[in-house]
Amino acid sequence: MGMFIWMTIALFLTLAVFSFLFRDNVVYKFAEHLFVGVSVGYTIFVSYTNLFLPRVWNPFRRALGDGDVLLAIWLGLGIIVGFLYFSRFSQNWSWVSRYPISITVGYLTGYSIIPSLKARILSQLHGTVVDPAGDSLLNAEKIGTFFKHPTLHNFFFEAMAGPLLVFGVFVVIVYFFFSLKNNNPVVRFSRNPALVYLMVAFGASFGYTFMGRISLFIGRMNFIFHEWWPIFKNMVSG
Amino acid sequence: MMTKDKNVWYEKLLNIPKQVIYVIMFFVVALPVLFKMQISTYVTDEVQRIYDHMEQLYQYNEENPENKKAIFIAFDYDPATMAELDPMAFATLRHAFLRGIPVIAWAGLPTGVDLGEQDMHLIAKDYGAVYGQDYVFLGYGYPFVQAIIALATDVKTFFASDKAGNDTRELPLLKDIYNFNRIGLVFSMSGTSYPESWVTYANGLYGKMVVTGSTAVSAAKYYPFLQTNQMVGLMGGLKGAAEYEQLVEKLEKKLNGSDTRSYLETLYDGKDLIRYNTAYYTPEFTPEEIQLSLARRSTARQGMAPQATAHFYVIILIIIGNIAYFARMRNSKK
Amino acid sequence: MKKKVFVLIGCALFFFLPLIFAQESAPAEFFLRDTPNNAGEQVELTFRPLASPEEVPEFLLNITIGEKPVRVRRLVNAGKPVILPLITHQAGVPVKVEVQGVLPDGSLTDLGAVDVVSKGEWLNMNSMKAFILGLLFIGLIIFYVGRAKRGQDLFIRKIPGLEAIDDALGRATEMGRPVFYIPGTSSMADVATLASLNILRPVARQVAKYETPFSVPVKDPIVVSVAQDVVKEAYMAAGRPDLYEDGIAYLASMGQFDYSGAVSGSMVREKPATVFLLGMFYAESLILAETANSVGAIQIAGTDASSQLPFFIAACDYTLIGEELYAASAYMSREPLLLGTLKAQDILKGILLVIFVLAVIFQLLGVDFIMDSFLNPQW
Repeated sequence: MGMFIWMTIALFLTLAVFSFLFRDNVVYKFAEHLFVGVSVGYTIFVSYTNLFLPRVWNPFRRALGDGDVLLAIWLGLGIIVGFLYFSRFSQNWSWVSRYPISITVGYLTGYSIIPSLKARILSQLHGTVVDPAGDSLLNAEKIGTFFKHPTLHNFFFEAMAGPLLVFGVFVVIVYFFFSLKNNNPVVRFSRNPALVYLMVAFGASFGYTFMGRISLFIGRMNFIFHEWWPIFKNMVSG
Repeated sequence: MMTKDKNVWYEKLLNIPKQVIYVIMFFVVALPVLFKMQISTYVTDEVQRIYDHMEQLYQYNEENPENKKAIFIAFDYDPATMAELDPMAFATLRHAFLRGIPVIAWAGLPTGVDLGEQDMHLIAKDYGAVYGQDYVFLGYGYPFVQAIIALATDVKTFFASDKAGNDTRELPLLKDIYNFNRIGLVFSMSGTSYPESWVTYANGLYGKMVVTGSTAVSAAKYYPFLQTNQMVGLMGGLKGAAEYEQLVEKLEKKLNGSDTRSYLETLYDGKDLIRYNTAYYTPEFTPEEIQLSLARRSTARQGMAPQATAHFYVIILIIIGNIAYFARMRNSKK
Repeated sequence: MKKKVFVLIGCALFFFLPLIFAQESAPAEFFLRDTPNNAGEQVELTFRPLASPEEVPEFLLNITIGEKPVRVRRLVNAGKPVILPLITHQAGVPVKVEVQGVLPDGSLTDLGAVDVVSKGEWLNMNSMKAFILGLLFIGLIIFYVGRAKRGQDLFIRKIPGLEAIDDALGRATEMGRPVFYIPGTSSMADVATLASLNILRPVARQVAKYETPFSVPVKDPIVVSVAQDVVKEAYMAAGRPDLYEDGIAYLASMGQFDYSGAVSGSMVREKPATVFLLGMFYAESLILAETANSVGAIQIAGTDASSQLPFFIAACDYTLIGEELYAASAYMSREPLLLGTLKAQDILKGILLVIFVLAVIFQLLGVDFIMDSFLNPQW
């Protein structure tokens, strides 16, 4: 019974949100505000039980209990610096909060620059010249495969995949290169192909987006017809 | 400014009220769901690779029983995207528990903490996996970068206690496996950009193999990482989930017999039930639970039929819209 | 340099060692080395069985790490080499591995022992290339921002979408209908919002000059006060402080869909001739673009939210894609920091593009030099 009540509330909220498709209304607003409120409350709760306790309080107590004074001091220092964030609530002292912010930002920037350059620039450019197996993407052999077996699959996945990728990366980088004049031949030549590449990419992600949205809708339909309905039927039939 | 005649056919088609479109969409999706229509799906290369990597990990564990490697799952999603990502997490967990691969997990979003924990216990129960020995849920893996650094050294210093409040030093699984050295695959299930960060740090810095389960919305942007092998596999949206689900079900039928219902009914018969802490799950099934558990094995595939009908519907709408639009353009030129 | 020579010699040794061992036809060859580029927390054993699984089905590895008791590991001869990481936790720990072969009859033969002391390296050479690239990038930014601050002219091409702005504003003036400017629906923390407010300034100046009605509905309260300042300043700069009022930039609503409802409503009532949608957008993007389209407005959109770009491209007349928004903002504001960063980014892009093209060409010729020395993320 308890489960049924909760599921019915979920059902009601689902329908309330869908009612927005007809027009904006009070029921939708209620569901929206309830959702915002609940998620904020939940986040605060989780922050306490899943951040403050296991990250701050328990380790501190554990370190003291173990007699590991050094660790306790480190943790204590961290806690004090962290608490400086709260100075934002005072107008006169809010400048103090810049210390924890600068520590976090400085640390994170330093930590992330190298792996980001590695993962997003070097590895990606490397992958645009050769495939993971180490063969060049402009591979005459693969183009040869197409001429031996001229099928559509071989054309797109063997012969053209590499050259299209290399060309696409080149023209799109030039498209976002702002130091050359608009009438520069390279810029003029690459503008239209780059737009075609971008539009294909947007089209692909748009198609995927549609699939995603429908999946969410299917998820709710599944919930209503396959989870809520059987329980409701059981309840009614006794 | 051109004057619009509202009674011309193409103007009518271009001005179908939104409500009508939505109502038809409702029926197009609801009817296949209601009648449990199923269509089979083929398996794409990026999902097959996930399966193969898991099997390789299983092989490795068989050859090195004292040095088993685990998988790591980051539940980087919340209820808003669970329709797409839950089936992926289920299939991954199933595969791991079927093959006895240890699982360590955390949630990357605060609203996903309970969700992730629930999912793990739910699937663990289907295979009699023991908390603390076969799987561990650490809680909220925040802040992301610090958590990753912890995973590179010793995750127990960062998570003094797990989600359930156990001291992480007391959990048998974490005694051996506590950092990337013994983690074979890293899964990130997410609708956010977390998988990109996993690639940047876990792969870029520590050379780990990253697998992504992504919502369809962000799936397209991960293909460049697949091409360079920075990601070794990708499940994109419900389709990807359905593919993996299909592969895992085949494996499950092979290992546990084709009658999953009787497998579940007899799973805990004659087992030493003291091993199971009832705080995580009760080691027995009610008939409703078996029903739900069986249904859960095909959530994603059941979504594929309504998915297909909805796609057809939208393609038809796009064609109608374009015809009407071109007709209007031609007319206005005249 | 010296290090590289050692590495080379090491590699050569690894390469030749198997040959030496193979001649003696030992059942297995193995060596232990300190795992490079770490703090010494691990050494690795490379083990290559040479005897067939029938001759020697199994090997026993007696592993001693530091003071710890000997650990015995059984290694099934699968006929393929294995690399076994041995965790030492810290540098300076001696590791010794004694290997025995288990013959089919169960007897053991000693195959020898290897040992190594784990050591840490100061530098992780695997990240060196990225480090140099990072230094180069930071250097470029400092250099170009400095140049921009000294007032030197840094050339940036005019993005085609920007040329449309003047025409669109002129059109609104001719038609006597208002101009709407929506600076995204995110907060000040978003760079796209900052970029958008940079573009707002010259747009507002132009609007003031033409005496066109202007409206800036905003979703975030902090953005409202900034937008008001920007518009006010622009009206003063255009010499029309008399036309300015605080209501030009106003808080429409703070909820996502309330906001889009409120803005759509005012679009339908006031029928703007031109609508700017620049900044960060979420699911409301299409609602706004569609309404603006339905009232016959020219729309200039721009965002770096890749998931919303398709909607803008489909519904708007001009769209600034991703980085173009920042370039437009730098172009129109001439702010040294933006201009310098953009220029530095461009130079880096140029360098990488040249390397990329060279790598592709050399790769075609069968020369891996450029590829390996510049693009391979490993050293």
